[in-house]
Amino acid sequence: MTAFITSDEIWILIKRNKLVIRPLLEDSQVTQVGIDFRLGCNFLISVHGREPFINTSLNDEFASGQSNVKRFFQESRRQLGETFILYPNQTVLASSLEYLKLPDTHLMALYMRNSYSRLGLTLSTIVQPGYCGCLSIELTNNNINPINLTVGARIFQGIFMSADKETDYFAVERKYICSVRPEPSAAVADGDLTKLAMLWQQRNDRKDKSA
Amino acid sequence: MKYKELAQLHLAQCETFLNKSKNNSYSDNHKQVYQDTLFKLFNAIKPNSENLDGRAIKNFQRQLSFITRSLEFLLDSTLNSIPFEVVSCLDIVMKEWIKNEEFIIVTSLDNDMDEYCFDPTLATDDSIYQLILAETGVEFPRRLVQISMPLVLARDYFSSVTLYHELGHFIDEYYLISSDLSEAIIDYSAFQKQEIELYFPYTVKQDGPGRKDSLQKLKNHLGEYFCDLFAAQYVGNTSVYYLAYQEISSSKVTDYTHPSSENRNHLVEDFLEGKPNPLLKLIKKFIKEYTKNDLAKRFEKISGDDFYKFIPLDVQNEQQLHGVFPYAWDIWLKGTANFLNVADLKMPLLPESIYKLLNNLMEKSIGNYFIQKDWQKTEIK
Repeated sequence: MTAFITSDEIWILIKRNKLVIRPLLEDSQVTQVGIDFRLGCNFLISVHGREPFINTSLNDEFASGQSNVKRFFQESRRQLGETFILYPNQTVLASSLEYLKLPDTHLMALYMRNSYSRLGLTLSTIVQPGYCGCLSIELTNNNINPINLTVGARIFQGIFMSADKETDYFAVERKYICSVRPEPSAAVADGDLTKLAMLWQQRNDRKDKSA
Repeated sequence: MKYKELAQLHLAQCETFLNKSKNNSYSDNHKQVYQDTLFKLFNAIKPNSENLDGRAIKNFQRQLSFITRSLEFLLDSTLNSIPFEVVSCLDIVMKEWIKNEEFIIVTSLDNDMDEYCFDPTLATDDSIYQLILAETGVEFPRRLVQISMPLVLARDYFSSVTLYHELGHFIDEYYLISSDLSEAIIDYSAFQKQEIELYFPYTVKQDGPGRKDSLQKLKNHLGEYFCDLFAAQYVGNTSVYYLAYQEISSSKVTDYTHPSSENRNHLVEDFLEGKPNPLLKLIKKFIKEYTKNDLAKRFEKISGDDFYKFIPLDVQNEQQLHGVFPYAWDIWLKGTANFLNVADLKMPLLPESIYKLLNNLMEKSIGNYFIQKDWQKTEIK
């Protein structure tokens, strides 16, 4: 099993420019077991769109053409120290205040900081070795009460795990490069979905409308 | 004509606009104070709408138009719409040139892709503020500096360099530099004119009915030359790159409002390269005399390779902050093939993806500077 790394090794990565964090407002953000990240200034808030649902399929059974996921989100900005209210069951895409470039040798797992987990906020995702950009996070409030969050507060943390070998993030095509604001899901850009849509057409004897 | 009824229609429209603005949310409290003062003004003039005659209607109309014009710019200056990274850079510039008065930079986002302009009415027209004070006793603690920009390019940091030029128009109007300089030049002798005639390749009428028109044309052209130089202090020749591209087929053409882009480029290049130039010398002299500031390079040329490594710049000071724009422009002008080569990328990256990532890196480089500055200057008491 791959072990997580502690503060000594994190500092070595930072000093060797293998791990870049801009800005790192306080050294104390590097904790014994990882790095605390701050809530950034940009948000995509889920809203009810005109379309009935978010479609992550390329099958044309519901409508011709693919709906734009962005229609289900509204952009909002804040400045450092301002606040953002997250309502119960609302999903908000946010980003870290910090811009990161991860080493090619380490994967990072993201979790809420314990104090924020206790409020009913959940987060669980990974960041691939070599990733560069602000970290996109999907915040959902599972509490029955709205929660007021402060931009710039340390709300989530990253735990590093070393890989068994060096990887190259840019060896394959990437959907998210150098993002500085949260971006909505690009799930429909997955190549497999095209194949699955064709498979569905053939199986159901549907004509390809794009032909 | 039923002017009174029309004025009341104007009043009702203005009230609707004001009510809409109650939803505006500003980060900068000065904008909120300004908006609250607009409400005070409206409430002060509203009771007069019943008793309006000739001149009173005109003044009433001017004040209502002042409110709606202000609201138009405040509406596009909320935190969600204003490109605050760029406006913060412009704010630094403005404070370098105007130290004794406070202004608020506001933006209006326009559907026209070429709409970059400065509107001087709310910043420099003293008469409207005097009228408001005399009729209502309402005083505005700060004035608005209105800059229009294209909506679709609100997050385009390449074309943002044009905003430095537009801010130059405000500085020019504030100190009346091109206005007074044109008054001086129009009466130059043939010998004096010879030195700078390259930049004014047309007949200037010193006397008679044509003088007023010639004076205005000179003022327009000097204003543009001033703003090009003003912007070049902070963003090098990037603000004239865009101009050269847009005027590719008419680079030698001079019209009533603008000198030829060839001449504008020439002047900026001479300034940046420190070459002797008689018009540059003249403008420098006026700038020093009127503003007490020197026309000088105020940005640092950044030579690192952070953007090629996909990381934002670690900006340390204001000179480097302005230097972010020419740094990214330089990378873009070297071509996308060069970018891929230097970045040593294995995956293909389309030019539009490189444009997007460079824009993102510019935004974060600038944003991080202000975040760190705010963090460092705040101490827990």
